[in-house]
Amino acid sequence: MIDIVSAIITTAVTWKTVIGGVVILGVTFGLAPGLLLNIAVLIFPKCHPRRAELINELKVVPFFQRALWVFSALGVTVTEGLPARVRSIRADRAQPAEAKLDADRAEAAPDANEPDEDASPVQAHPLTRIGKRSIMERLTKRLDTRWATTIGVSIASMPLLVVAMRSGIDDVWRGASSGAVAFAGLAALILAARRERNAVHRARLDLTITTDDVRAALGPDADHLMAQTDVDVDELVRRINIEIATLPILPDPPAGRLPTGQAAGGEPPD
Amino acid sequence: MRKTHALIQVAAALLEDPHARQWGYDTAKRAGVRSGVLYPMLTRFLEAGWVTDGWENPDAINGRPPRRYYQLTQGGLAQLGALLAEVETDPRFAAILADRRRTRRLLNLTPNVTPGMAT
Repeated sequence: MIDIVSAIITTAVTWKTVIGGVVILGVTFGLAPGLLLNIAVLIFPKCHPRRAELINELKVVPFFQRALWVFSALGVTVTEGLPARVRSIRADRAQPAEAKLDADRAEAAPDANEPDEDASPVQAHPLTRIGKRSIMERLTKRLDTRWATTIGVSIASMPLLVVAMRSGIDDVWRGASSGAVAFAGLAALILAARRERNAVHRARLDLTITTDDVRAALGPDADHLMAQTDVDVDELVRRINIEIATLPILPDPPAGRLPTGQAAGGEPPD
Repeated sequence: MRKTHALIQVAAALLEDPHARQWGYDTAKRAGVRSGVLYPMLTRFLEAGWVTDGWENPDAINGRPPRRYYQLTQGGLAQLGALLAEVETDPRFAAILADRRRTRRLLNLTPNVTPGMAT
């Protein structure tokens, strides 16, 4: 029996297995727990105290207990870190939207100290402007993206055009056809981009609210809501358009229709 | 807070030295709970105002990152003390406290956890 055990030990214990064992030991209890924990705590939001706490606490955990401690701490990262991360993401998403809304409200609201040249006798509802502007911004952003894509594709197709032109020198027919295709493609892309750009400009110039805008603002239940509140959409659109319109020109009343004793620009009667 | 074995163990561990700073790993070891159980519980204690937390002064330690500590508040001392006093007579938890006392006796530690401590 002893011979068998000593034979196994002699066979198993070599320099390679000893070095391998030390490496495995070092990795399992030294490197791996720290690495694993450092990765796992990333689930916590950046400023969460638990992130630093767990990493720093690992330094005082005895070497051979580290792996177990880290595996247990992984539970913390899931039970505490995940909800914290979700809350953080929700807060991040909500914050810019609220900030943007506040900025829009501040922009839309007339400054009390500055005389507003476009002040309308009917006070414009800030949300009306916000809704209109956000629609415009979304449209612009979408078209800007398309515009950038078009430019990118055009630039990328330039070498193809050059190659097509050069091949045309060698082979007149093939070169002419490929060059024409490339030119046609490029021209089509540029024209499409220009059309989109013009559409944006038209959309920017067109500040009136349409029935579609109202429907988009009210969402899928637009018809139901309007039926419930008995709102005339055309009347609603007309009123909103009046509110967001710039100061209408008020014609001077005819001199003959002024009240007695009041001339245009004169002092009002007491 | 629901009374569980882990809660009683952590409460007993914290009340062993109620005015001292408590560290995560040490508390887990003394309470005999996993870190996955201890830390969420400490978070609940923090939210309830039973403990306060802080970080070690980096100047006072050399070559080691500062650790986070927890310290029982007066409210926490009263609440956890009352909790332990309450469960002392509960047969479900009495065994845990008896084990802790036996262990402390064996290790020659001063028994700080006594029933009705906060009262």
